[in-house]
Parts: sequence; C-alpha cells; structure tokens
Amino acid sequence: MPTLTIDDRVVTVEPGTRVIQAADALGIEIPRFCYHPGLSVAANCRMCLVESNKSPKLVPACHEVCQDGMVIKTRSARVLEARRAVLEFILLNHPVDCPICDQAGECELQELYYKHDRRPSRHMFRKLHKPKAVRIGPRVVYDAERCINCTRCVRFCDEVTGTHELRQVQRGERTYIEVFPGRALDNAYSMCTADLCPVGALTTDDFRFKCRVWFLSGTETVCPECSRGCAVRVDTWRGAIQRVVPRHDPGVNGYWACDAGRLAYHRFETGRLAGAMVKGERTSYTRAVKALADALLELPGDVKVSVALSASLTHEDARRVMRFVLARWSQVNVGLLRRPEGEADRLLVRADRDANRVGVTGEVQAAGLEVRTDLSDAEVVLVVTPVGGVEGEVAERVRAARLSMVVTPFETEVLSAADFALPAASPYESGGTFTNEFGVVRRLVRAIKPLGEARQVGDIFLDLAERMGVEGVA
Amino acid sequence: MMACEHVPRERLLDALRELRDEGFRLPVDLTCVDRSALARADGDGPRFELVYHLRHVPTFELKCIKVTVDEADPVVPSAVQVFRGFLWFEREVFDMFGVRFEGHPDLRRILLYPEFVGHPLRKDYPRRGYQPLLPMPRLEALRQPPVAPADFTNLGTDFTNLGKVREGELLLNMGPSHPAMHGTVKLRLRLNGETVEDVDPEIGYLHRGFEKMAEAGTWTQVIPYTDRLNYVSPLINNVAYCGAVERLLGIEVPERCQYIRVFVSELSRITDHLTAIGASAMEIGAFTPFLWAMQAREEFYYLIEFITGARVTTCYTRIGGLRADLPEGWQERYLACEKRLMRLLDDVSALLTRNRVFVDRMADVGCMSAEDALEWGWTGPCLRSTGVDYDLRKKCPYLVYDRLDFDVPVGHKGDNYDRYLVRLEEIRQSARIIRQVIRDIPEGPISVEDWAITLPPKEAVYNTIEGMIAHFELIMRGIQVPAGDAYFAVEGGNGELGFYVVSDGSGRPYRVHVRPPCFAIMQALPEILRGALLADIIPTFDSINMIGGEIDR
Repeated sequence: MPTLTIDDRVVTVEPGTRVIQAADALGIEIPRFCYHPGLSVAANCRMCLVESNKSPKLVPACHEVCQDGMVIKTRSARVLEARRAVLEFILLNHPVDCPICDQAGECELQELYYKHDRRPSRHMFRKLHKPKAVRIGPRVVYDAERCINCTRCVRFCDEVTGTHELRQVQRGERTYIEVFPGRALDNAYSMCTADLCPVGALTTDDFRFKCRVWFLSGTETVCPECSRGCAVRVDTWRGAIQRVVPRHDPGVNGYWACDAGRLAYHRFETGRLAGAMVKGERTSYTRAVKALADALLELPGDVKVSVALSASLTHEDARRVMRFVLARWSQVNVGLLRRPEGEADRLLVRADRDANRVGVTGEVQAAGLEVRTDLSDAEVVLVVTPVGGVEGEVAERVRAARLSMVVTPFETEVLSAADFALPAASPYESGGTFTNEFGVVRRLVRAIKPLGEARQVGDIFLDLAERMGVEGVA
Repeated sequence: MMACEHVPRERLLDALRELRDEGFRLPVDLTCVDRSALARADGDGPRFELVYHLRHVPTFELKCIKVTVDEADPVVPSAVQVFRGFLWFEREVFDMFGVRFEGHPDLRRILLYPEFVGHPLRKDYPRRGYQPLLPMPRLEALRQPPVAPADFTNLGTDFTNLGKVREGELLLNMGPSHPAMHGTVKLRLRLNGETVEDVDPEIGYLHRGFEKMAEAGTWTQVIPYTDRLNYVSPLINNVAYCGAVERLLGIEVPERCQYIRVFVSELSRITDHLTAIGASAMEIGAFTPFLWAMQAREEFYYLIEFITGARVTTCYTRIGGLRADLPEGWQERYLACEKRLMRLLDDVSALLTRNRVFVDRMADVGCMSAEDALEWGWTGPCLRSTGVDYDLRKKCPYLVYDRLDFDVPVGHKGDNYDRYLVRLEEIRQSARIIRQVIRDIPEGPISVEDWAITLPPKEAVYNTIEGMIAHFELIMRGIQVPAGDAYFAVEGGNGELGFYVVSDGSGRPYRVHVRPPCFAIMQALPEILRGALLADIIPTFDSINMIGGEIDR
C-alpha cells in the first residue's frame, strides 16, 4: 500500500491507484480533459500534468501510478504554466462558437480556461477549418473544429460498447475523429459519447439547440424503460423535459445509459388522455371519479373482479391499488400487464421492459394473492398502467366486461368501449420506488407535473377511496 | 477582510462607552448580516451579526465592532443610550431583520409600514414576498365628523410618537404628496398654532428593496441600482459601490481611472448642490434663482450625458474600472460648462446671499451644535455647517484626492444659512478640483486588465475564443469576489456615503448595505425643529437635502 504526499497531504492508497484518483479522493483539484474513470487512460490531453519527485519532467497524473515516497505538487509555478500552455494550444484553432454551441454553460474547456488561464490570444492567423455539424450517426452530431481530440468517444466505442465505429484521422493539428467508411455511430449507447465529450464537439440531435443549460432544473431519478432502472437525471425547463442524461450508479448502470431509455420520454408527449371518459363521453376527472365511485359502490362484495396491474407501477401505487381492491371485494384476480419483451444486450439493456415487475409481484404477494395469468370470466375489469399498453387480450377483456375501468396515460380506441377511463400520470410524472431485476431498490422522482388532469395512479385510488369511504388505502 | 472587534452583547454598551471616551464620538453606521445562508466553518453559529462603525474625532479613524446574536434570542441592548445617532439605524435593523434593541425609546419599523409581516432582509424571506391585504375598518370612521383630541386613536392613524396632544393642538400630515416634501417623505406634525411642538418624519415611501435586490444578481448587476440612490449625484454612488467591491477584491484601479472617478464625482457634487440650493430658494419663494440653478445644472447634465451616455442613470463605473473612457473634447466641453456655471452661480448668489428675506428665513433657523451633530452621526455639508471640518476627501483620502488642492468650507452656527453658504462654496471648490484633474490626468488604461474582473475588449470577444470564454464566464458567473467583508466610504453630496459589502466567495453579493448620509441627518430633524415655527419647516428640511432614493433605498 504505497504512501505518497500530494500538496503536503499524506495519503496511503491501494496499489495501482493513479495519482489523479488519489487527488480526487482527497478533494485536491487536478484539471483534466481526456481522463474518465469509466474508460482506459489515454494521457493525451496533458492537462493533468503535475510535478513529481520521481521525474525531472512533469508527469500526467491520470497515468502516473502512486508509489511509496512519491511527492506530488499540483500548484507549483511549473504546473500552473503547463496548464496555461496546454489550454493555449487547445484554443489555438478552437472556433469562437460559444454563442451557438450547446455545451456553453457546462463546457469543461470554458471552465478550465477561465480557471487556469485567462490570458488573451496570441494567435495571429486564420484558424484551421474542419468539418462541422456532421451527422455521424442517427442521434449524434459531430463538430471537428470544436474537438480537442481527447479520444474519450473513441475509447468508449472500443471499450464499452465494443462497436469500434470511431477513429482519429489525419495528423498533428489536422487530427479529428471520423466514423469508419460505410458505418455510422449508431450503437445503442451512441448518445453517451455526447455526455463524455468535454466540449461541444459531440452533441445529441435530441437536445441540439433546444435549451440553454443554465435554464435547466435537474431531477435525479431512474429510467422506467426496462428492468435495470439506470440512474438518470431528467433536465426540465418550464415544466417540460428537455433531455435525459445518465448518472453514475456503480451498482446499477455504472456511468452509462442506453439511447432508447433516454429518448423514451417522448412517448409520453403525445396522444395523452388529458381528462377522463365515462362510457365514451369526455368529462372532467372529478365527475368521472364521482360516477365511478357510485358505480363501484353498487357492486356486491362478492362480484368477480380482475385487475391487470402494469409491471411498471411503483411499489407504492401497486400497494394502494391492492389495498383498495381488497377492501371492497373478496373475489379478486390479479394479473400483470407487461410490456412486450425486447432483446437484452451485453451491456445495460434488459429483455424485461417493465421497471418494477419484481416490485409489483412482491406487492401483490404481500397483499396475500398470487399473480395469475388467466383473468377470464370476471365481471369487473380494472386495468391500471402508467405506461399504456391496453391492447390485445386486455382490451378484449375490457370490452367484454360488465363494468370496466381503465387507468392509463394514453387515449386509445379501447377507451370508448370502456365504462370509465381515468388519466394516469406517466413514470416521469410520478414518484415512488422501483425494485429492479437484480433486487436493487431505487427511487423514482417526479420530474414534471402530470399533463392535463392526469394524476399519479396511487393518488387516483386514494381519491376513489375517499369518495367511497374506503379506509386503509393510504 | 476588515479588522474588527468582536464583542459579546453583554459588553456592547461598555465597549461603546469606552470607545466614545477614547474619542470615537461619531456613530457612522449600524447594520446587520443574516449569516444563515453562509456555508460556515463554525456550523450553526449565531444567526445575526450586528456591525457597528464609529469614527474618531478629530482623526476620523474608523473603528468596527461586531456583536452576534442567536435566532432564538435576537435581542441586543440599545446603543441609543450611548449615541443618539443610532436611533434610526436600530429601527431599520429591527424592521429588516427582527433584531430587538432593548431600551430603544421608539422601536418601531421605519422603512416599512406597521402592518408588514416578516423581516425582509432575512435570507428566508423571498425576494418576491407577498403581503396580506390590509383591512380598512377605519374608512367608515374617517367619514364621521371631527372628534375631540382624546379620540384621535380611532382615526386609524397612530400619533402616539408625537407626545401627548393637548387642547387646541393640531395634528397634521405634511406629505408624502407635498411639493416641498421632495423625495417623498411625510412629516407628521403636532402644531400649537404655528409652533412645531413635535415632528416625526415618516420615511420609506421610496423604499424599493435595494439591499434585497443586490443579493439577486451578480456584483456588476448592482451598479445600475446605485444610480438610483442619491439620484442627483449618481456618479458618486457608482464610485462608492465599486470602491467597496474593489476593496474586497484587494485591487486598485489604474491611475487614469482614479482621476476620471474624481472628475465625475465632482460633477455629481455640483449637480447635487445646485439642486439643493435651487430647491431651498424656490420653496421659500425665490423662483428665479431656482431656475438659474436649474439652468446651470442642465449644462452639467448635458455634459454628463456626453461622457456617460445618460443624464441621471449613469451606471458609469465598473468593478475594476469604468464603462468607457472620457470622450474626445471633454476638457473643452467642461470648461465651457464651468464658465456658464460660474456666471450663474454669481447670479444666484447675488440674489440670495445678502437678500434680506432669504437671510431672515434661513439664518438662525434649524440650528445644530457641533457636539450634537457629531452625536447624531451628521456628516457632509450639514456637519460642516456646525464648524467640524470632516470631509472624507481630506481626512480619509481615496482615489487621487490627496494629490489635489482644495479647501473645505466650514460654517459656525449650524443653521440653514450656513448650510447654504457651505454648499455654494463647495461648488466652487469642486470646479477647482476639476481644473487640476484636467491638468494632471495621465494617459493609460481605465480598467484593471485582468479578465477575472474586467470584460475583455469586444474585438477579443468576437474574434478570439479566449475573449469569448472569458466574457461568457464573467457574465454568467459574475466576478468571483473572495469571501469576507469590507466597508468603504466616500464624500457624497450629503456626507459620508458608505457601502458595507459581504461576499460568500461567489459571483453574487451576500450582503450589500448602504450607509446613507441623509439617514443619519434626518433622524435629528425633530431635534432642530421642535419649538420652531411652521414656516421654518420647509427651509430647514430643504437645507438638509434629504434625497428619497438615498434615505429609503
């Protein structure tokens, strides 16, 4: 276990630790561009150069392995001048794009230049021009002039996705990044390269020119698109989602998130059921709840009820539905409404495309029931889902039922056949807990207010319970 | 960082008395800082920090004392028992922070109305705070016929601060909508015939929450607000505020900038005094000299517009420098102005200085002794009219004032007439200063050339990435001012104009407090008006030159 000194602070670290990691753990700031804890060490940007007693020249802290007796200085005059020199070189041909660049406000180049340099330009000539706004993939745009050639994106595609689409081309100051001829940056995680990019060279098409980052409010939540539940941050502005970016969660998704999950919020932007429907007629939520409550009160306690619970409900919402249903009726079948399975990949994507199958199943069992697959011959059918999917067999049951109630976010054709349809909030508009496929529990946090009159599923059942005098649902 | 003495509250009065005995007889300022939003090393320390400033007579050395009190027990002994000059300052701290001063003779709100809920300068009071609507049960009562003095309490106006109303006395609201109550202020009067038995000035009609809004943006974004303090001398406010922040940053502006700041400060002083003299003349009936003073002032506004781009909302200084250099031809423009000014000044003086009516209205009216003036915290022309030659430009020189030759006129009676004479002469001395600036001003940069403080020149911003990034970061994050506090004062038109600023290390101010010179002066108005005649109110009030923007912020 080597013991070393960084800026007069002594620390003992695990063998193999890089100096930059030791400094980060101590809270000592070492600027860097190309180093990323989730990728291999490249040491090409030279921004993290520090003084070491083990070398006459400055050494890159990201590469240098901690040794016993090593003495590192991160603020000597040589180090400070080296940082200025590195920044000067990077900025020599950097385009004056800040006013039109998405990265402004979260750009590592801006921040590090302002913090460690601030000298005026000594560049006398025209800047070198390179390809700009190149659509290198279906979801990513590349600007070669802004690129500082840190190769984070190249290493990501080599080491994390294993798809090897990107390479550095040309030499010297003309170097930039290109996709292999005939290919595109189209892997399932391509948008992560834009997160990685320290400048505005790689930007996502989804967010391009949408919103300045200083207007965004971030909500730390999880992605609802599959049973992994990657940690994400949903950035909103004026109550609307502008983008979704991954958060670091070592036990769940590491540093990454898949493109499909990040873009899933769009699904909930259109085709929403904004109000309620009673027997195919539009009405307000309050009136529908009243009518539904009256209708349910008329049912005898031993009527056969079947409930289709979405496997994407939160623990809390599923629990409330179960409590409500079991407080009124004794002959209850519960089935899981699942989204169609997809293909799992070797990285993050799971085949199960529901956020909380483990959790919802658990809640049903906790209520004393088992999840059944056959929901036939029920007179009363309840379908409860925050993600839609009321189609096929489930839709048939709704049509055939004596009394049907559908709680869903989307306005689909089946709703005109349903007796009661109430607008559900999407997972982005809901809060609660998920248990992922591996048993890891994480919080879903509401990022935006529900659209129109939509309400979180659990709250809908609370409203019903209140109207009907049903106790113990909360 | 300011050197200050931390004193436990039990020892506060003793400490103040000791300082007073050592010669610190001028109470300059008392303010408060709510430390609850500071990331503090001491964790949950006491919430409120009271900051007292005193000056020594005759050296005018500054002394600072701090007392901290907990949120749970926000009470401090009232310093009014030692210096009457803290009278209104304690009321304001109570108003804005909710700290109570035990032993204060009249602890009520001063800038806000009595029914206001909450203490707005506290960090947990939102900038956009809503207040409950007031019921108006008294409206019906007001429609009743007049009632006997004993029943005045049911009129919805509390006159208790004016002493006991006796038979035959008249309670009168003078203002706030009164042509002579400029700056918007109400003088609540208790009159016995024409004699003023008591007066209670009610300020706050122009309170706009300057100190609260200063916490809203970056350090630079406070500068436009400073224009609107003493709005007849906005350039002095610009200079004072930037000086305070520069002190926190530990930087000095370049020499040329210092000369320019002196120049524009004196221009502002001239406009301030012309307004004061002109208005006081007009309001006792001398309309012609008012118009002449306004004509002279107009010349200066035209000149100021030439230099800064605006007549009044100048916003000319920047932290670390100025918005722009003086335009070409400024010397000739000024000299032409000065020529007309001197003519008009002579004419005004000819009509007023030995005018029987003017002298009778002004001389021996509104008298204040030097001793009392010092105790009340008077500074500027009002203090100097009593014979005390305290002028910050001489006693605590800043910018390049220590290189310039000028006299500080001083009166001896402390009456309205002396205040008129002092201001008249100060205009001439300001002109004298400006002549020397024209003679001595060096070439050179007008701003500190560090892109951590000054915006890069536009050619660099538009054409180089370095300039672009520096501009972006400065605008978006603001100048990063190291954590700490500083007090910086200049000689304003009305006296010591101080700014007490506190930084939490970021680009946004944590606290900006204005020490308004006319605030300390106005609190003594009852003292000099008691026993005077109704007709003396206006000349006295005018000679004090209360400016609403400054006193209310």
